[in-house]
Amino acid sequence: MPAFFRFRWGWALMILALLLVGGCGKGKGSGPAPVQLQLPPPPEGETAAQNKQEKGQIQVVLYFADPSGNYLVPEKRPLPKVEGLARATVEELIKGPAPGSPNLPTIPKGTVLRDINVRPDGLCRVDFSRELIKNHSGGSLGESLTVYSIVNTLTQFPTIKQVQILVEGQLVPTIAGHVDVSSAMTRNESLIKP
Amino acid sequence: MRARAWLRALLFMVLGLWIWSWGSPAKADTRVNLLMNGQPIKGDVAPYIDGNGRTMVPVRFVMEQLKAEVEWLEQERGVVVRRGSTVIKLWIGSRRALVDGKEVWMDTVPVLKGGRTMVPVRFLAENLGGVVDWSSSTRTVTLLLALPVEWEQVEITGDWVNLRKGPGTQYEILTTLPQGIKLKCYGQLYGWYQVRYKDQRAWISSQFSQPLADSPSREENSCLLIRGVEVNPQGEETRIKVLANLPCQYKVNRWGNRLVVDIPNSLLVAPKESLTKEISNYPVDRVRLGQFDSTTVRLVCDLSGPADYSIEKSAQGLTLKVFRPSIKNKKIVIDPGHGTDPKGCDPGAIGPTGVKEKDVNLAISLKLAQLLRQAGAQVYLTREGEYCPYDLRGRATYANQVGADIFVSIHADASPNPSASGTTTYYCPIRQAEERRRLARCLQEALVAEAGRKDRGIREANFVVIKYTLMPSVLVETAFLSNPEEEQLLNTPSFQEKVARGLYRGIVNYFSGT
Repeated sequence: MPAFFRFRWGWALMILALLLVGGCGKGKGSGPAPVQLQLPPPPEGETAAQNKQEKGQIQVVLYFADPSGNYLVPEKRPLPKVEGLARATVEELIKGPAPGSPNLPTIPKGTVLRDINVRPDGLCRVDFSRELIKNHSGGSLGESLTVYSIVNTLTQFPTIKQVQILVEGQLVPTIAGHVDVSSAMTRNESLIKP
Repeated sequence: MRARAWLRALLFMVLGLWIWSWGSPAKADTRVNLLMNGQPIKGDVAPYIDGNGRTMVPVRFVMEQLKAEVEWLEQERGVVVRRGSTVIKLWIGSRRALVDGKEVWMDTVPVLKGGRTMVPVRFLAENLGGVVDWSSSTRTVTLLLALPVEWEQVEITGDWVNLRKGPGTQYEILTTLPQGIKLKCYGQLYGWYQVRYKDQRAWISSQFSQPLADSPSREENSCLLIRGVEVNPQGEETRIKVLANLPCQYKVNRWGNRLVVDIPNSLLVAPKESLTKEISNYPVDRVRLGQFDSTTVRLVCDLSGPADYSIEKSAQGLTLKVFRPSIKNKKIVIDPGHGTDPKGCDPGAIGPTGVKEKDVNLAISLKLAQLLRQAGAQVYLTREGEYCPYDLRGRATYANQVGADIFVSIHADASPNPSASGTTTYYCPIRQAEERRRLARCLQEALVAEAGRKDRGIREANFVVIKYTLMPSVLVETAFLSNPEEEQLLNTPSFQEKVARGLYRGIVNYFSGT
């Protein structure tokens, strides 16, 4: 009997605690963290990958170069809801902008996605074929567009926090001689068209 | 049954708190009380909580209560706070701060309010080694800062003694240490000593520890006496000799138009009237010597313009030379981008008619090297022909080994759209952000002015060569090889000459401090 009560009271307390957190949230800015209770933050509302559509489709965001070749721009694309969504998304990124779109591709011709995996800690390792380097047309801008189209496209997924680019299964210092891709990278929106 | 009563009580408390918390935020109360070492602080502008949830206090009023020095820098709208050996620099409206020269980012910005500079108290106090507590029920910020002591070390006398986060048993225990351990002591408060433990600050009760009167670190330095300063202007160089009985340790800082040399563990024994010397010999206006705090003597040079210096220890003191900056004898590493290295051939970008980036980079670099050498700079190139003996990261390492003053990597850009054009200078703010930004700005401005291509501005980037260089470094994308017009320009010796001249001007401007 006491166990039963404890159980019930426990639930009541938890619900109240939740309400309490909600209430204090309104008073944000009332001093350095006066509330000890913490809940995981709600997922970002803007995440495209969660923007579910009808008939088992899902919208993802692909970053391509804008028509001027100076910035990255997002392009939304519906994908069937599949198991390896990150893989399917990178495959679409490699295919390039939709037919008729004025945007420009960022991945060099002939590049193949060899492997991709996402670790529980949020590190995504994405392995491309050697064409990513061999067929790259160079330039700091061109290389930055390539690297951050990959990184920003993958970090749209809440499970991916960092991206490590590999080529033929190996760590490489750069794709075209400028950007340091030897370690994992986080999202960088400075190239996205304002 | 007892458990149930407990829970019921707890529930009421939670419920009560909840109702209270619904009521109060609506008023958006931003008032706050401030207690410093137990004393309530009431300046003419009251502390308040800003939109980022940080408690803001009037910096001068609070810091002067703490015997800290506060200086307002009108030109850059900044404030410098000095207490003991710590120097903090903040700017109105900027999240960036410098703590002992190191860049730190705050989560809110200092503001001007009622003619007072308001700063986040937690940031300030914690960087001065203080303890900050917040009580939401009384809306009180409690600030605890150790008071200076005569001794440098304390020894643990108790059997096993707790080191805590603050001066009181209510604070979290950091570690427990045995008898006989000696710790560096920063100060005392409320019967507790603030000590160093593994590069952080901790507190130990004075009941279980005692000061060491003859701390060795103090004794061995206590005989450094500063006897005065001798100034000798020669042309545009001013030689300043600090006279002492022993060689001095020193730390040089620049604050605006001041060059400051601090000599730790020293005592000033010079006659008062000899401490300030009017020079008026460009770039030195005045030289001042003073006892900055109980253990530091400070030499200040007031400057009338951009200045460079060299400093040398001697058997009896220091010699500081201050002079007009120039690129003479500056070590400059120029890195012509791409080429063939031990890992293979990398032509870089290739233009529509086949012009290779590695070739135009080299041509411009060689022209730039010549201009710099004519002006007396020491120029090092990572490659002087097709072959570069270093891989990409090795180019940065080479510059580090040379001990370069600056590193300039020269490139030509490419974009998926052939109409993209213009000049960009990249820097990596990983270190010396301010200097690197200044170098990038100097080169970009002069290059755009000389070569006349579209100004794409300076940008931050984590490019390998500018990331791993330890000195101020930039990567310049002179123009777009993927653009047919700029490809032809880049392949023309007269345009290459213009680019080299622009870069040269930029480097000269950087070193002359303009």
